[in-house]
Amino acid sequence: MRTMTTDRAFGVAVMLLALAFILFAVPSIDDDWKKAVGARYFTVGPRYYPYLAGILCFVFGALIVLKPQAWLPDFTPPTSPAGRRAGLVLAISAAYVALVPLLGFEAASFFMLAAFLYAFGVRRWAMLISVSVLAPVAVSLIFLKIFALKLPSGLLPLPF
Amino acid sequence: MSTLRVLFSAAALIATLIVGAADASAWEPKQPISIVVGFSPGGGTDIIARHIASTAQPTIPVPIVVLNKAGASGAIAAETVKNAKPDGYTMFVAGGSESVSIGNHRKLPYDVRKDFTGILQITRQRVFLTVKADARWKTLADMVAEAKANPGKLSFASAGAGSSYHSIMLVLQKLAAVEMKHLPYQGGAPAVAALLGGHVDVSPHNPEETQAMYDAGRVRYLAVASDTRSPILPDVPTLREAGYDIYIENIKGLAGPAGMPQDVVAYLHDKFKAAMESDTFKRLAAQANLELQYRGGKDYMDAMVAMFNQIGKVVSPQ
Amino acid sequence: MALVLQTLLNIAEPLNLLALMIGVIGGMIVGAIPGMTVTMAVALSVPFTISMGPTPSLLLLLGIYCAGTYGGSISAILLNAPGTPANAATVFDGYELAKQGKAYKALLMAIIASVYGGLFSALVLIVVASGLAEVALRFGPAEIAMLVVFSLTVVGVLSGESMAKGLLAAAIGMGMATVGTDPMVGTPRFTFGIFDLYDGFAYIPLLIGLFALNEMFVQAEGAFRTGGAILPLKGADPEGNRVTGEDLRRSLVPMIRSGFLGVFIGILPGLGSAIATFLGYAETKRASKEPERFGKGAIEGVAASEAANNAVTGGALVPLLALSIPGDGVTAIMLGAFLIQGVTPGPLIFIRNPEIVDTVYLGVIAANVMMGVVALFALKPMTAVLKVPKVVLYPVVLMICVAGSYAIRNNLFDVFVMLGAGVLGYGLRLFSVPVPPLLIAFILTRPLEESMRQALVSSEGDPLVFLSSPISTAFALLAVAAVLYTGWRARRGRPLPTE
Repeated sequence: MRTMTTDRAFGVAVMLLALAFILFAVPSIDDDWKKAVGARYFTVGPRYYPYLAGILCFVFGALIVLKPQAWLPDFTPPTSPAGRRAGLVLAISAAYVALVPLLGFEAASFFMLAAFLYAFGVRRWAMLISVSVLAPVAVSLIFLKIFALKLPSGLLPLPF
Repeated sequence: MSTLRVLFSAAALIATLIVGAADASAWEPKQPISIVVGFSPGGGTDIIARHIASTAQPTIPVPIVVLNKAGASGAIAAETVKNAKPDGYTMFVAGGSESVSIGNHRKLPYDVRKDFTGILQITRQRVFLTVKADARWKTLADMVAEAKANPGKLSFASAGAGSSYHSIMLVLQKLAAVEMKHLPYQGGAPAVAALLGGHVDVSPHNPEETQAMYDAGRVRYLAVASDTRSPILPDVPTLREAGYDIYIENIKGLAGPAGMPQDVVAYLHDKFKAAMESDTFKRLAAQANLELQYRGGKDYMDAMVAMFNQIGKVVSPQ
Repeated sequence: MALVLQTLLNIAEPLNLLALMIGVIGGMIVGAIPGMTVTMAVALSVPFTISMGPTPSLLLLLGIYCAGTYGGSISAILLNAPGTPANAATVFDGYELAKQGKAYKALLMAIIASVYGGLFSALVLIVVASGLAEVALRFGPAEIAMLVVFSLTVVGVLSGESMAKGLLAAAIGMGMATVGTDPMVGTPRFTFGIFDLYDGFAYIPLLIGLFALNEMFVQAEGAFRTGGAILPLKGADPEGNRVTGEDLRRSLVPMIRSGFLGVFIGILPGLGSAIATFLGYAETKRASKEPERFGKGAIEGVAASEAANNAVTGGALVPLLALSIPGDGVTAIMLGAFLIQGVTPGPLIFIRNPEIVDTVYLGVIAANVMMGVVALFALKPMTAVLKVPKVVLYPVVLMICVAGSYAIRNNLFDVFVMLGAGVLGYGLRLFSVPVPPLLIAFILTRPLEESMRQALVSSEGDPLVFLSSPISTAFALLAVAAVLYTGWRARRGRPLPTE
């Protein structure tokens, strides 16, 4: 992607976010630590490093605005077919992560795998079904039997 | 009402009482019991949970599951249990900093004084005030005298801000009217390193953390923050003997959410107490260097609350 | 000498060798699964050691420790998903090599470097254990702080095309590291009442998200079409997959340097192998005459990071044996395992239990040799994972990442963190912001903040404390020199592109 405007816009966005961080987020940290017992020998409080990080982000954001890169090799506009595909996987991942607490690991993984494979053109039903069923069961069994760790079970009662 | 009916009723009543007495724990678990551990697998708290679970397992008809929910110095596990149903299927290993100390330093989503039901105490971990062997003080009194003469000159390490170890030093400073500088570390091991390197003057530790260095003659113990002297180190005086009424240590045991029914608590208490007194558990405990101490559910809760309040008098909750 | 021979014969007993073998294979598998840590594997096997004698239990644990640290490189190279935090720097060039169809070569170099790093650290452990441990004690807050400041200068080396963006990434990482409870006074920062955030973002979900998930989004852009990027089979490019004399020559000095760095970081309590591997990689790039080859499949990048993390193993055993002070999670659990066997590490172990000391010494050597042999046999089966069509591989990897992130603390919150990190990584990538500086700043900020503030408490606010000892002054000067050198190199201009 050959565009300095995109990089400048990115730098401005970073500066605005950093400013919001410095002005609103950092002051939300309690600053009554000086009152705590034995705290009188502390000279640097809990806000010091967050402020430092925020200021550095602002400064480097400004540097990007001043000297933008002319060439962003990885920039994929979200509206392009490639960008839409990445967005689709992102949506599937987000739905998956949201479903795990509700349906439990195995069921949520089944739906994710089936949706993922279908969305990217797998139409061999035997493979689609067998991967979606066997992989979650195998992973869940390995974690349970070998590592003695139970993966999350869901809140909703399921018929299977 | 006929005499006969009265007799029958009385007999039935007596029978109920007898059966009830013979089987005080009418409750029986029907689903797996989980013991939540607030620390990573392999740590001291985890070992207690796994040993008591494996010893009690043969006597309990359902599986006992140890669940590690590490984080926030054990407080995530306590919060999990506070929010669980008080049905006897969820408990955690209580009695550490998450129960007796942290709540005094910052807001927690639970209150140890009312949110838990004690089941039983299993072990105790004493805390020794440790100094380098070549430190210039022979006794605690020497150190306090120097600290008094030079406020803020001496420094101490702790296993973390808000931990029991930190709190012990805060209470001591208050009672002795001295001021010292605090250097919190992430856990006991780096604090031992800081002490040995001479970067701090004194540090509160469990004996197992400093055992090797004590044996090698590189550290000394000035005092122990227990109610009685340790049977293994009988020469180390308690803080109480030195005139400071401090009794704070790790009293690890099991506790469930508040409001557990009496019969449920009794069932769990009896099973785990029997396990704790078995030879198997005693052997495992000896291997893991655990000092056993039993307290019943109510006494256990009272002991935790007493330690909590002792710290609370010095550190006001924010 | 008689004792050494006896210990050697003891280790060679079939049952003891079996314990070692189980440890090595188990460690490699656990290490290769993103989210399953070596610490977890060691913790889970300690209960089994209770009924074993000291020799087999130590061999089992050492096998897991050494092989687990290596095992993470497998998934780092093949899937862009570092299996453990210690392999994070291996992905930079390892995965690039895999994409060029040289996965076999990268894996082979990772084995060579890991075995070298492990053996070198064993040698250091044996020759100078107790002396070095005493040196480690001299690192107080001021010394650690300056060491971390020096380590932070590698951000400049890892920044890539745009220095401003590399520094920006580091600043973001620093900000992310401040989430959680303040280390000194316990004030919660940016936790928004979410209790799971009190320890801050867990490192492993962050790592999985920034690398593995991020890569999945990138592969989605190309619709997971097989072919193109990854040519998995050795047969496809036998020439490119050989580790040539030229490769070894390039990797020799980086491996030696990383060996020293890894041992050094390992000896200091609380820093850990993730920092060592970043340092090893970055110092190699800094010293290289052709830094532009890094991140594009430089074989010495793989060698440097893998030698560094395995060198940490022997280093971390130094304070454990000599002072009874564990430097990381794994050695903390091993301390417990020693105690179960009735052995207390510490100054007296060399007098009371010399046979245990010898077992550890020879055990580390045996574990590394065994690891090399097993890994060589496993090379072919490992590359088989790349025969799976990408469209099937990536969703399954996503599932394993979710399971692994959850398993670290049995906490769903860490799964959300992983997803967030994946989205963040993909977003940063779109604008050519490099991820490595973010990670290195994230892992260094906590020790930096803690040690700097500890030092300032000791000195009652006097900043001269950072120049009060020769060690801290030396690191401060090194940090200044590193910044000047990077600046000078940037001004002199990059060498002309060779292609």
